Amino acid sequence: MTAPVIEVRGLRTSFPVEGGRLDAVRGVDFDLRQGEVLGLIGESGSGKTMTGLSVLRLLPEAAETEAQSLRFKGEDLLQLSDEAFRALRGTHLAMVFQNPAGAFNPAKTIAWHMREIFRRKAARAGRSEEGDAPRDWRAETRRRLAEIGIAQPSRILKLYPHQLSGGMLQRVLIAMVLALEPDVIIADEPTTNLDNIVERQILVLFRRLQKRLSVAIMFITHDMTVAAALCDRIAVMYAGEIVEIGATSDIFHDPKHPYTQGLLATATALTRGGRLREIPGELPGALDAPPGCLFEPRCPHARAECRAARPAMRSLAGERQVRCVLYG
Amino acid sequence: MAGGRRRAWRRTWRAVLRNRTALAGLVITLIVALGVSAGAALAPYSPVDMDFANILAPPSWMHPLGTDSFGRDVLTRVLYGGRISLLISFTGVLIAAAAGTLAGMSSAYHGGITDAGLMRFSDLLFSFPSFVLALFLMVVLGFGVQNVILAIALVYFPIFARLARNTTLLVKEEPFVQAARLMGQSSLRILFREILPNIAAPLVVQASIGIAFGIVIEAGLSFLGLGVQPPTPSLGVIMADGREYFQRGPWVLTLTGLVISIALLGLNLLGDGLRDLTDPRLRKRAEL
Amino acid sequence: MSRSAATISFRLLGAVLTILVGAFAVFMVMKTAPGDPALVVLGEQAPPEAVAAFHARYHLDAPVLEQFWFWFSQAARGNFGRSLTIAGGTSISGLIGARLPNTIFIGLYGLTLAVIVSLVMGVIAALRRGRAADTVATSIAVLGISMPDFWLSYVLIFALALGAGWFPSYGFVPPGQSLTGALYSGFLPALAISAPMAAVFARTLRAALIDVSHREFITVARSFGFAEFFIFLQFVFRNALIPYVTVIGLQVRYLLGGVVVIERIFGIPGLGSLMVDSAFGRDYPVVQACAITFLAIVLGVNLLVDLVCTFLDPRRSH
Repeated sequence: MTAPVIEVRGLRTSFPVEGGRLDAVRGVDFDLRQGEVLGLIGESGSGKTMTGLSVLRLLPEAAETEAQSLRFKGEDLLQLSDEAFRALRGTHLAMVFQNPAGAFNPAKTIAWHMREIFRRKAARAGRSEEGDAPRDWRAETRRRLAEIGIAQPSRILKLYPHQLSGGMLQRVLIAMVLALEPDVIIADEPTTNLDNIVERQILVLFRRLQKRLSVAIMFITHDMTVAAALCDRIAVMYAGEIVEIGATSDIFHDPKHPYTQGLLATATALTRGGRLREIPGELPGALDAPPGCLFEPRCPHARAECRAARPAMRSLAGERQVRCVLYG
Repeated sequence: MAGGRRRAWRRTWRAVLRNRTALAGLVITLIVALGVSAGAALAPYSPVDMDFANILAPPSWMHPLGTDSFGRDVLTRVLYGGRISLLISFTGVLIAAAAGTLAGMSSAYHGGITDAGLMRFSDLLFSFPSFVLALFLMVVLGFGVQNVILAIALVYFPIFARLARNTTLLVKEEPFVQAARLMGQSSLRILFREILPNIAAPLVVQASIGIAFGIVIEAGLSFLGLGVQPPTPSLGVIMADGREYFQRGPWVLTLTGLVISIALLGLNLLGDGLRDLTDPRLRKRAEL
Repeated sequence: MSRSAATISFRLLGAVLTILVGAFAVFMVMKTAPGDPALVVLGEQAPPEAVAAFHARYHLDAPVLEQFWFWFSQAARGNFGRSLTIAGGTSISGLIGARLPNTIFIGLYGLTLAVIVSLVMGVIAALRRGRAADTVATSIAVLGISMPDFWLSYVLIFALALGAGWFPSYGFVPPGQSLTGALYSGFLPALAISAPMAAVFARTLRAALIDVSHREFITVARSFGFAEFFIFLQFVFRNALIPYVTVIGLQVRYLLGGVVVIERIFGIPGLGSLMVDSAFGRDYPVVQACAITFLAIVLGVNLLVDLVCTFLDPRRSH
């Protein structure tokens, strides 16, 4: 077993809202290993995006993030100053964001964005902080854009973000992150807005990157089919907690946590997409979280002890972990 | 329906009290307004009583703001003058708001040529610097209190017309307006019952700011001698007086200007606070 | 690029049209003003034949539209007629030509000061948001807006001219004569004008900077590890420029209005004081010409600001 590239223990994030504090991430533990794709699945509002943002320290100042340990390649991230952490972003750690239309600087062309990416990459290579983009950055940009399925890269470069469709922008965004060739990519619903064919192309690309450069990818999604296709391991998230982790095939063939079981039941019941909707009940309002298991109100197997205390993660055989009293 | 609206008003009122800026603005404005209306009546001096023994006396207990070159108590003059300035600005803005809102609302509601025409007319008025337009109008209409009111009204008319029009355009697509139309209500009723309450907020904010600058316009015109004519006191007239002997008695002009500034501060804060409260983005955050 | 050229020409045409309509409106409204110019010039006791001759000479007996046409055809050639009372007989365009540069100088001077101060204040307030510097800056801004510029003038005169003696309280040296003289004698008036404007600009800039800094592409930029200063300059500030410049354009109307009174206070021979003098002297042709000139200036500035904003905002130019 290879050492984890990212090691997270006890990650908590909360931020102030009217009426108190909202706990978005409540004690998340996971490892992200080199060359693997870890899927993070959950309903919207489950804290998946927040987890990604917290790991990369991208939350606004009002948000409070804390963790027992947060390591990148063994290095303690919690000790790093903001400036030292910044040095890691874009070079070793990168993120693909969910909403492509809002991700670009509206006043600048695509070419400008790509050029800045290449300058950032050059900075990593140990040259001056404000690295200069290599001479052939345009050629390489065109190559990467073509790779991701964009037909006329030269035309795209001259355009401004508002002139491109959402799907096109998402592809450019992914190309930008891939061009950086970071050690870790956190991809937040990168294929949600894209049609099937393009989605397939991108998944292939992620796979290739993973194999070629051993990039560790945390793939956040609510789409079960995509997760099944791409991910090596899957973590299921509910109301800010990870409730189950395991190898993809294990999770899909033998889901342990009642929530996971419900998800899969819904997924198989629907056609393409597997959107998660049919489990009766709702996510607990973040301000009025019950003291016991967060899923208990919706759980078909709920017992008295579930309401008493928050269940801890139980380790099972084959690197499985489940947060449920049903398992010990 | 009616109960809901009453509750909404109470909620609004509580929100005003909570917002510090609006509260401060409201307090200051009320103090100023009360001061000039009641104070003028309560002042021991008359604004025209001359006391030649006490010319250009600096501020003292007897005369908190000093006296002017005729021995008149400056504080009394300022209170009377302030009342007049405030009344002029308030009336002018009120006329502009009423006429502009009516014009803007019906223009947006009915659309077509009247809409285009009104907008062109507003834009034209708006293309003149406000004070220059006011000055021009004083030349055409003649000097005096009534014409200053009219000038202010005309300067602010396009602002209210455009604001009312733009907000009406947004509101008129709302479902409850469509519903009212389908139920066969008359246009007039729809405009006043359904649309007006929903566009009132930005109009009130604008009115608050408008009154503030209306005072400045009046003061400026009167200061130049083109507005309120002496002996009627207005803040601008008093400042013009104070200018004559500025070196010997700077307090007249300076303190009068200070009063104007305080009134402006109050009205600006009030407008700001109200704007904060009624900004839809902020409201959404508040209702979270 | 041809699309931009077309837009520019279109807007220019619109501005010219507005000036024409404005001139017409001003002319017509001026006609309703009380008083007979003939009596103003020749005196109340003038004999009827002299009055009639005056009317004939200046086409005052012709139908109003014809009068406008006569006036306009001359004005289009740059001839605005002659002053009736205040500068007896001097060509109005000459008067305006002599006065306009002073007004523009003070206006630009004040605007420049306002921009500089507001850039500093706005950026500081936004960067140190919520902290002491922000509260201070914001409070100053609110106070700045609340001070009528002609009052501020006297405060400045009192403090810096009569009190400290650093600047003159009266008398303006035109820039044509001496640039340094103009900068020196024009400092107090420019400062007085700039204060309320700087306040508005600073508030707008601060709000715009804060607003943009909450947008998603800022988080994305940070995720790429770009330097904070780079992000501030190229992402935040660059996108906040558009509302900032727009507000500058909107404020010009108030700027020009304020200049009128400032000119009187400091004795600056500008367009504003010309208009005031001619207002008192019932010199209607001059008042008219001044009003139209002010209109033209506002429209010209609007056009300029519009062009700059179009250039700054790719959504408008592409």
